[in-house]
Amino acid sequence: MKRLLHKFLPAVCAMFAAMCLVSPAYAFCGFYVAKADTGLFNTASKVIMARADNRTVMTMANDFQGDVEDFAIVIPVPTIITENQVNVTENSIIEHLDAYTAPRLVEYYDSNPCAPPRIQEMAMMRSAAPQAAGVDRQQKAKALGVTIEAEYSVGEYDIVILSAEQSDGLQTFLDSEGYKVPENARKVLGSYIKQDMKFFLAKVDLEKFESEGYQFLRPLQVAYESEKFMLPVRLGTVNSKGPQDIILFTLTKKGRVEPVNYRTVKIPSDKNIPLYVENEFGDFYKAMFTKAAEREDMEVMFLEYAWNMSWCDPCAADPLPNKDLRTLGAWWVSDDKGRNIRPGRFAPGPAPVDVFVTRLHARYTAESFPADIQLQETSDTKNFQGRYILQHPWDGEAECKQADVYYQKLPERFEEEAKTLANLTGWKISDIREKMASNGQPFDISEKREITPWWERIWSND
Amino acid sequence: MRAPDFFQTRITQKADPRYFQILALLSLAVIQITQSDFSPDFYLFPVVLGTILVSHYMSEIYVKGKLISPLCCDYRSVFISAFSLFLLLRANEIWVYALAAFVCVFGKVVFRTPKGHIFNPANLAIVLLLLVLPNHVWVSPGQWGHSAWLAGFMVCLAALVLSGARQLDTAFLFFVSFGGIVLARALWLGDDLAIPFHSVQNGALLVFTFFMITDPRTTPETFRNRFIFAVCVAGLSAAMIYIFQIREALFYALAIVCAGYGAYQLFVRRRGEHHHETSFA
Repeated sequence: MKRLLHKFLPAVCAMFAAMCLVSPAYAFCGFYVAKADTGLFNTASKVIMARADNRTVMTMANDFQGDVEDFAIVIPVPTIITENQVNVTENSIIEHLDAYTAPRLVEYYDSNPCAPPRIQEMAMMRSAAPQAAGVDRQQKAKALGVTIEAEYSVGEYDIVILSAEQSDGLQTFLDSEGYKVPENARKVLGSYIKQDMKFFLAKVDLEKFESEGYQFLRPLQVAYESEKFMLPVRLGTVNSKGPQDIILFTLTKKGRVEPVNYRTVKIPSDKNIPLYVENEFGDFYKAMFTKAAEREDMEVMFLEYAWNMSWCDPCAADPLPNKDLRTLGAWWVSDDKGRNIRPGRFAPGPAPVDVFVTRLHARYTAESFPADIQLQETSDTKNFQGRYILQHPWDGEAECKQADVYYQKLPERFEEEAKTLANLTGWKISDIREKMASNGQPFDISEKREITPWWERIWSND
Repeated sequence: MRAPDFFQTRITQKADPRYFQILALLSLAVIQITQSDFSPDFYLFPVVLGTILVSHYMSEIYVKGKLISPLCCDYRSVFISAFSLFLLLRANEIWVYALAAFVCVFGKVVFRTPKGHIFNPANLAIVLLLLVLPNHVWVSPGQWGHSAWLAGFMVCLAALVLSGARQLDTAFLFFVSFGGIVLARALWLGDDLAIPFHSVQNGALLVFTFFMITDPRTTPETFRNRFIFAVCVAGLSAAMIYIFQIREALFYALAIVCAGYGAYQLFVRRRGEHHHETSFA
């Protein structure tokens, strides 16, 4: 028994070594292998995986911000990928899915305390950012035990599929092209080689990029058939300078997708927050997520959205049409032949789609996420979304007795909202109260309105 | 091999070990409810427990061939099955949980050798439902976080030590074989050791190791056979996980090995051995 305990202690200690640094959270399944040692900088990775019956399509958003010619990416893949298995799509599709599943803000307006209630609802979206990657190739690979399985161009990318016999050869192969491969990467490459995985390398064809007049690098898509359902993240943590973020969207037939080897935690949702957050929703979300990740020592994946694509409530964006779902890899969805069947907004529409979308978000480091994320599709169809509520107090005339009670209770409610916000984001409650006071949520109601004392209310005739 | 005497007190020597197991499972259930956002709703436990108690009573009537009072039945073992189901099984609908409880009990009646039932009841229920209703059930690996997992591990270990030698060594053999295979694979791949340690830290493995594979009614009697049993389950599940990427490998592996052992008992003549282990569901 003692032996068993001793076995696990080092792992436990290793786990608690994670530190959370300031906002940048950059990650990817592959890694940047830049020619020059430029300080590569990218925002949260976005990956979409559509999967059913062992057929997977992986779409990787690309928001590389450096020089296009410095761009290269290496991704381990389970099978050899032929030219027809690769596609380049538009960023707008990923942004659409991002907006559709993003945590949303809803507004409610208090009704006149003197009159019957009336509710109004509105939803807001959060913007997302794209990402980038790149790769390089070489001809004298054979001597190093590297086989170039395929080479082709798709869109503005030049792609090479490699298989290797040993990590030293692969590393030398990349090194000889002047790419800096970190020492740690070699072990990880070796692990993938032993698991019979291939390597997908992509770099940008500069001439094509300029001639087609592209502004940004577009997302790459890879389709393959394999029992493996996983997101390789180890290469991405190898040369990272701090915690990284990844947002994984999955499209499946049955239900929610969850990681098998990491805990899933729901992000705090259905919380009432102060009104002024409407103008700072992006910052609020970042701060809230950072705090949540810190609380869990960055060892979990957060569930931000899990819902059938046939409906939404509230909808943060228009549902994706069947054509886009198919482009993202939901091959089982019928082609609506351009008719653009729109699913319902508040209940499954007349033509429900068999697509369940899950959005998982993780902030991690090499220590907190030592293994690649193994995923499984469950049959869980319960809905979940990140939803934050703004409740506007009544702003108009209200001269009845009930109004006094209502206005007296407001500061309590504001205080609750302030506390909720402070707990969620870690912002100082005094700052929150100040901002609330100057944004339509004063704590001292007597400034706005004269309140009749309660004893007058019980004894006065009316 | 016998559990060390200094662990035994007057209470533990006299008390039915199943009480310790039930306590341990209760602790695991509490850990799961507090740690996991995806544990089944509270009210599902009474559903499972209620169905299992009623089914057990009905099965006793069936087996004894006459009407008996519900108070005459021994329900301790089905309590353990109920907890196991609650901890491991996930479904969207209530009726699936009730069905699982029913299959638990009647699986014991249907699949038996003259010596006893072949499959651990909760294991059989999970495997059958996964095969027959794949769109309604799933098993969550039960990631709890490290301190919670360690706490669960200690609780289970304590319960097992107090339960007796046979359960203890089956659990130990399985854990060491399975852990050994995972570790060996990591060393061969050149992975960081944090990876294999991380991969065994899930609640489902705890419940499986301490309460499912250790079922005295379904594990062989001799130490040598238990050794083969545990190693087969470990090897088969590792193969299913790493080669076929089957996430529920543990349960399938145990069911297959139990089926094999059951067939061996039915078709190969064996001298009966007396044993006084209490029944375990």
